[in-house]
Amino acid sequence: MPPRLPLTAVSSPLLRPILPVPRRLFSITSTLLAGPPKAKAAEGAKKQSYGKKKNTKDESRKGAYAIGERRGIRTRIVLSNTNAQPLDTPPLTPDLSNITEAAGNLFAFPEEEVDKLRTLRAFFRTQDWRLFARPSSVLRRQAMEIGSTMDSFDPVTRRIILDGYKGSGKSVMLLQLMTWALQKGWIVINIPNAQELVIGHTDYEFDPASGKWTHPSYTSHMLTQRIAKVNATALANLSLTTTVKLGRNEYAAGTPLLTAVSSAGRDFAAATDTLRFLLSELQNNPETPKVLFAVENFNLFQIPTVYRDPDFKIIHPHDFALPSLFNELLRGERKFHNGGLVMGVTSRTIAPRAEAFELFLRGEEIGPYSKADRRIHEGLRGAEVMEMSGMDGEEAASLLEYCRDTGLLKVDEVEEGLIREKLLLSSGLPKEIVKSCVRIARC
Amino acid sequence: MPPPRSLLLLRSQCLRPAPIRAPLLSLRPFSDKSAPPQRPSENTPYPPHVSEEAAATAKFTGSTPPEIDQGTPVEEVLKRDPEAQKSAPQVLKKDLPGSKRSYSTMPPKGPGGYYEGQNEGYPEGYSEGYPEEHHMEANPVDNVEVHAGIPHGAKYPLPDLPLPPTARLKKRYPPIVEQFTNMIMKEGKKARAQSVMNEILALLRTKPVPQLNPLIPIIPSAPPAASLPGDPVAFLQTAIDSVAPLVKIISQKASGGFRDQVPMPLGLRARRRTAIVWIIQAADKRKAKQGLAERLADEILAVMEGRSKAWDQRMQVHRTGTAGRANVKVRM
Repeated sequence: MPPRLPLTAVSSPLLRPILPVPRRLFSITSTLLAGPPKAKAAEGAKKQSYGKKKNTKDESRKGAYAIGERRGIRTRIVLSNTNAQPLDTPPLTPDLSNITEAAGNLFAFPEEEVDKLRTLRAFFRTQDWRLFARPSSVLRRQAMEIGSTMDSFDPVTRRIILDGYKGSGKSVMLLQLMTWALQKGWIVINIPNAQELVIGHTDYEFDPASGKWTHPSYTSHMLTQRIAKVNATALANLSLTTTVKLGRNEYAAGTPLLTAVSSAGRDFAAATDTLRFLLSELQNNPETPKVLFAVENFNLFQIPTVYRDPDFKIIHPHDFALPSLFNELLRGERKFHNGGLVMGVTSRTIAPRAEAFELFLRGEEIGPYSKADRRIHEGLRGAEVMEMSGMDGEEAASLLEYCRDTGLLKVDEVEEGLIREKLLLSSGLPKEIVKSCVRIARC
Repeated sequence: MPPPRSLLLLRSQCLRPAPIRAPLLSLRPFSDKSAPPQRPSENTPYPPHVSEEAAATAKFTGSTPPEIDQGTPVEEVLKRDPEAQKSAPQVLKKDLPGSKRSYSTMPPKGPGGYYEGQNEGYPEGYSEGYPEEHHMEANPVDNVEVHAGIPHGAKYPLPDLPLPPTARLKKRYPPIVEQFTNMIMKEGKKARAQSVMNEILALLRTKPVPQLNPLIPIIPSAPPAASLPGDPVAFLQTAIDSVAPLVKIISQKASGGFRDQVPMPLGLRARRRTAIVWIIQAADKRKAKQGLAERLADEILAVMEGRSKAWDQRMQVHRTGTAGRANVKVRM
């Protein structure tokens, strides 16, 4: 063993002793400072076995959750309650949008459409479907207004940003519109939560051809699991107008659009191109039905994403393919051949806010000295802003009678005084009206 | 052999007079140490009070002694002494019998101008003898719309009386809900506990109808099981009241270094408290597969169906209580 030298001596190159250097030196600590080697373990100590390791863990102490079980619990949506009184609620039919008397009445979502709406992920956990025998909703004035334009023969696309307080019934109205659209044979495309695309929970990739960032796996899943499944009939009836190469495969003109979407959409690399191609087909093919394209939590498309580019700069949400495609539709740059409905739903209450978006919703311009993002403001120009108001007395009466008939509200008669009380306490928000019937009540 | 009970009273220690304590003169009930108050010596002659002197005089003259315990009211003195009446102040002269106030202190009796029933309890014609001009006339008020059923002077209909106990802001929830909420509360976060409670009640609405176990004693006043999911508060209350123990066991020192297990009866709130503690403990012991509200709702259903560990605890307490009932000391 070489003599131990003081540290100052070691640091001087002149005084450094010449030592035999080991061949594989992983440690940067000099041999001199490493100290004497540790005493070897006593002979006869526990031998290391190279066989299969025994599982020392108790078998009964497995994890509380199986793989995917937690997500299943978290995302499970219950749409019925066996304890609730089943009611003979009339179904929501497409002709209702033209019947003025239907406004403010209760209608049930038909069974076939419920399955499709589930696939579209249009129902939410936060809605109180689990308290009622089957999903039903009160037809609102705004739904009637939009629904009446859905029937027009003109190839007009209504481009709406729906704004309203939390619990005001925006998503439920979208459900009603989607139901009508599905019943009328429209193609329905839905992004159920815009948040999924900006908070970094899904992969992203730069597409040099279009200069946009893409969400390959999300887009693929959206195409194959939602668009192709829900709109299978409508897409199968459409044939390609041109020959197109998507991914590795080429699809000849005349092939059903469903084939292209479902097979090319499976390829992550080709998913965004497939979506773009699908939209261009819907723009160009005269046979195409009307289209409903909706985005929930639309305000999340207006805040900076958590994604970063190679320079570690935050990527603007409009630099992503999906939001920019939707914005093009919202601005009217892209138009569906036979018209339809483009709708962004945004909450006013608990939304992450972008100043430019707020100004746009209020119909104001960005001031010359403001730091608000002008790109956001410009990106939405041309869209119509619609506000979801609170319920009026008639609508609230229908909802309260529904609660009473189901067994949530223990009154014999829904009187005017009760309706006024509930309207006052809930600000007319249907979610709060139902809550007031459910939560801890006076005994 | 102990002396007979009748002789107990004759024991010397019983007959010994209690020592009379001398007043503690050393105490200093004043603040200034330098100048102690002049304590009058016992030899100093004190003239008695006038009344005391009069009483002493009356004792041997045989006349009526004046009241010593309480002072004689001036009115009484005036009544007795006509000379004093003359020199009495004006205020006192007014109240003398025969004098008359210039105004009435009696409630006026207007013809229909006041609430009905106001004159109840008064004799008929109580205002007789008072000048007529002091009767207040009812002011006829025009343009006031009085709704049927609304009493005069009220804007809205009055509430039905008596008010329910939950009409008070701080007692607006059912007591069992309030108690359960407080017991799941942590760190004083009541709003959070209330939201969990709301979730529990909402989940109970979605639970299947409990399949009652005939071996499990559900309280006899419980509503039918089929109606419970529709009324989650009744669901909760039935479960808690059913599993609540009747007694608690306390350990008492006994002779020979032993400790006795003595059952003590519990009040309603304490019984419920014990039951809630057991339910929360049993819910926590389940595999933490769900959130707090889901676990508690499942446990409440398990109590109703007799599957809960809380029943074992209740039976254990009752068994110990039955075994130890001989240890109960009843004070007659």
